[in-house]
This record gives sequence, C-alpha cells and structure tokens, in this order.
Amino acid sequence: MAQTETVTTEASVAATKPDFIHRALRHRAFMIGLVLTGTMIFLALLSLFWTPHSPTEIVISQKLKPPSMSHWFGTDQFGRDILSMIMAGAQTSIVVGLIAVSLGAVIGVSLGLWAAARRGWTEDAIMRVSDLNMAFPVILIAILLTAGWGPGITNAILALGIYNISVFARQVRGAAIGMWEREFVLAARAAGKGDVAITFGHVLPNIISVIVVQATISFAIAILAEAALSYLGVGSQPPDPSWGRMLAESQKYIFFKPVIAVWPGLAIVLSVLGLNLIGDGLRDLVDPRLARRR
Amino acid sequence: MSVFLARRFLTFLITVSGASVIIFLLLEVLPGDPALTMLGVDAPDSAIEALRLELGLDRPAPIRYADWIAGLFRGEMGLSYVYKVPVTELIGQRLAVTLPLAIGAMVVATLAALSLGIFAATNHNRVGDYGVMGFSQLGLAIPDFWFGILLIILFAVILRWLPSGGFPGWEEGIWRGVRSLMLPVFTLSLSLTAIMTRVTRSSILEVAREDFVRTARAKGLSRRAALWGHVLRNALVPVLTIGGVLVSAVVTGTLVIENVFALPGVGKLIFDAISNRDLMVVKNVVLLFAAIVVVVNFVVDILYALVDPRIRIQA
Repeated sequence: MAQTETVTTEASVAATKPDFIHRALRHRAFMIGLVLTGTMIFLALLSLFWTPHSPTEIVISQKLKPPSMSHWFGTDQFGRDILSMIMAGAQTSIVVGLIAVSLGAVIGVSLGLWAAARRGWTEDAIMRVSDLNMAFPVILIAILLTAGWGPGITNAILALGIYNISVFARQVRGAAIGMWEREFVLAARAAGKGDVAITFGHVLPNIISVIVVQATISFAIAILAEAALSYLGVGSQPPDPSWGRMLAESQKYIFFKPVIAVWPGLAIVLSVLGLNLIGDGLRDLVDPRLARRR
Repeated sequence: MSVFLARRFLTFLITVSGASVIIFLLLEVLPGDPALTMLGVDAPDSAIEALRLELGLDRPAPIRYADWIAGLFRGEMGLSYVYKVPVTELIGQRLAVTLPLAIGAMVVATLAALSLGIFAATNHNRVGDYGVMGFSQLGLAIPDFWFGILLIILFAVILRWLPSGGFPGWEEGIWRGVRSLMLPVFTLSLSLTAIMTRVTRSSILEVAREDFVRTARAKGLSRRAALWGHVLRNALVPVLTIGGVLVSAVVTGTLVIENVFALPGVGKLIFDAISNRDLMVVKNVVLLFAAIVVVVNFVVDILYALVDPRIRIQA
C-alpha cells in the first residue's frame, strides 16, 4: 500500500502540494468561479428556510410590477416575487445537476475503469455501447422519455444521467489506460496484485483530478440542459420553481415587460460561468504544465 | 485503410441499428400500450381498440419493429396520426426551415470562430486574447434560448428591425424568409462559435510551438508567413475532431431555437408531436436526428484518418 502514497503522477503531486491552496487563492478565474458558485449554493440553501416572499403564492393585484424595495426583481404575471422564484429555482438546478452527474459518474467511472483494466473485447463492448449512447444528445433522450411516460423532472435527471455515463466512461478510460502503462503499475503487477487491487489502489487515486474536473464541467452542462428542457416543457413541471420555465413564461409577456425575461437568464449564466471557471481553474491547478501552455 | 474503413463502417451500422432498437423499445414496448399512450387513459375502450388495429398494434413487437425498418429501406415512415399525411412528407416540408437554419449557423460560426481564434492566438496573452477568451467563456455559459429571447427584445421589441418569430414560407419571397431566419441563425451560432474559437486558438498555439515552425522562422519566414503557410493548415486538423460535439450542439440547438422563434421546422414538429402524442412522428424524427449524429461522427473519423495516418494504423 505504501506504493500508492509514494508513487504518484506529476498531476496529482501538484494537487497534493501544501501550496495548492495558496496557488488556488492566487488563481483569479478559479476564485471568481468559487464566489459565483458559492453564491448560488448559498441562495439555494437559504431558500429552504427563507425567501423574501413565497415563490409560489399568486397575488394578482401585484402582477408584473417593476423592481421595487419590496420586490427587488419585480413580480411576474401572477404577482409572484421573481427574486424568491430565482432563489427556489436554484434548488431545482442543483438537485438535478447533483443527481444526474452522480448517476453518470458512478456508472461511467466504473465502466471506464473496467474497460481500461480488461482491454480486449470488454473494452470494445463498453466503447460500442458508449458510441450508441453518444448518438442520443440529452434532448433526444428527454424527448423519448417524455413521449413514452409524460413530462417530468425525472426525465431531465435520467436523460442527463444517461448521457453523462458515456462522457465519464470515455474520459476515465483514456486517463486510466495511461496509468496502466506506468512503471508503478507494472511494479504492482510484478508484486502479484490483481486487476481490482491495482485499479482501486493505484489507477483510481491517480485519476481523481480528471474525474473532479469532468464532474464540475458536467454540472455546468446539466444546469444549462435542465433549463432548456424545462423551457421546452419536458423538464420540471409547475408548481416546482425552475429558471427554464420562468423564461418560457416570461416570453409571453416579452412585448409588455421584457425585463422579467432578464433575471432567470442571468441566474443561469452566472451559475454556469461559475462552474466552468472552477473547472478550468482546477485543470490549471492540478496540472500546471497545461496552464503554462494555455 | 480498407480494414480501418470496414471496422468503422461496421461500428456505424451497429450504432444506427442499436439506436433504432432503443427508440422502438422506449416508445412502443416499455411504456405499455402505444394506443393507450396516444389516446390517454380516459379514451373509451372501443377507440383504443380501433387505433390498435389501425396501427397494427395487435401484432407482436418484433414484427412491428421489422416492419418499421423495412419501411425505412423503402423510404416510408408511416402516417402521422394527427396530420394524416406521410411522416416523410412532414419532415420534408419542415427541413426547408431546419436545414437553412442549421447550415446558416454553421457557416456564421465557422467564419466567426476562425477569425476570433486566429486573432486570439496571434495576440496571445494580450488584451485582444483575453477579450476573445472572455467572450467564449460567456458564449458557453449563456443558454441559447435566453440569448434568442434577448435578441428578440433588442431587435424585435425595441428596435423593431426584425420579426420576433414565425416563418412566412419561402414562397413569400427569399428576403422575407432570410429576415425571419436571421435572429435564429445568430442565436444558434453563439455556442458553436464559442466552442470552435477555443479549439482553434489552442490548436494554433500548440502547433506554433512545434519544431517545424521554429525551422520555418529560422529560415527567415515572417511570423505572418509562418502562420498562414505552416501553422494554420496543421492547426485546423484538431478542429475536425470536435465535429461530433458540434453536430450534437447543432441538433440540440435547432430543436430548442425553433421553439424559441416559433419556426415551423423539424424541431417544432417533434415537440408538437409530443403534445399531440403522435408517436409515429416522434419515433422517426428522433431516429433521423440520432442517425445524423452517427453519420457525422463516422465521416469525421474517416476524414481524420485520411489526414492523420497514425489514427488508422492504431486502429
């Protein structure tokens, strides 16, 4: 087991150095990403206990009000407070992203590791299934699920999760094959270790950074996709708050109150931007060689 | 090369067949009775039975699947349950909107991305480079449907220069059609441009560090001559590899954008078909889109092997 701790790749050496935090603090894009994503998570958590107004309460007398002290972002066509709806909508985005990315990561990473360890026909079979998976962009999977079972947030989660399986499988397989060719794996094999022990003891710990970076980027894509699916009516359904559906509803009032179409869009952009900046930053931080080349 | 081609073609066939099986299973087998799905649980039994007979649902699933595929080889996709016209005819009409939208966005994105990518790479680590990279970060983070809504607010609501949506049909004149497609094309091209700009830029920077470029510069070639004569043609090869990513983005994009701008294209057709529970349309359109993704990936693989012999040797 001592081998695992002493023999690591340059990438993970960089990640475990004590100055990692210092470098992270000096990485401007990464820090901006952290602040944006932190704000989104904070608002989502806060909305579990408190929102300025109820995000679902309909007050027709207050409909389509411009921003004011009592409604910072104004109100929608049913008089609901837009800020409260955006705070509650963050919950939906985070929940969908978390479940979908975890689903894709757990199955995809396992398949990728398996393919890299066994090679031969096992790898071929896994990669062909992954090719098949790639033929269906998220939206097509969601369309099929909706046509068969009716619309719902579960479709969005499943569609994103299924799509992410092949994304993770491909990434992890590539990175893991590289590890299997390293001397320390040969040494472990010579010491009599089996595929499973090597995979979990040596290969997986050394490609964790690849998986974390991919998870961050997949999370960002999940937020965009969930919003798009809800906008199209095949994702989250009323009364669940959702940024995508807020935009779909605001479009009907675009000629009278265009401003209500601005807020949910901004929330999506800032969340996705935050996660993308974290992903890019992590990639630079765990592999400084790459950062210098960029 | 022929072994490589044969292997790739086999993979291609397996993938398309697999896709058709998955679509059939998800739409017609796993959810239960398709006639019930189409008419809803409140429909009278007699109506459901009639539809079952009309669609041939009384036959076993494998036979229905074989019929569907045999029909596709004859160029038939069955009748739309709602419109009562052949699905091929419906798709054909709608492609008159979807194809110009997709191709227009690809052209705009390619031109913009190449210019921005070259500009950023030649100004590496300077203000221009940061500007372009900032733009591409934003382009990746902005949901295309929201960008479309913002363009509608600016150009249709405030400035009143362009229509906010809809499509008059090409028979109303080319110019009116083009005007209706302008905002959708720009909307769709945003994320494509962002992806391609990043790849073009980093690929140029990568190639510019190669020894052969250094040799060319040592020979006395100016930076500009080295860029146009040596760097670019090599740098554009990796841009090919994201062909698969791009076609997925275009397919997804057209589906979304047509709904933002109420364009009567294939993307709108499929969402109307979902609301109308027109499974015949959903089944064939989804297969069409999946097949497009697979075909483009296949072509990209072949092109890539043609320009980079190492790929076909490894395979």
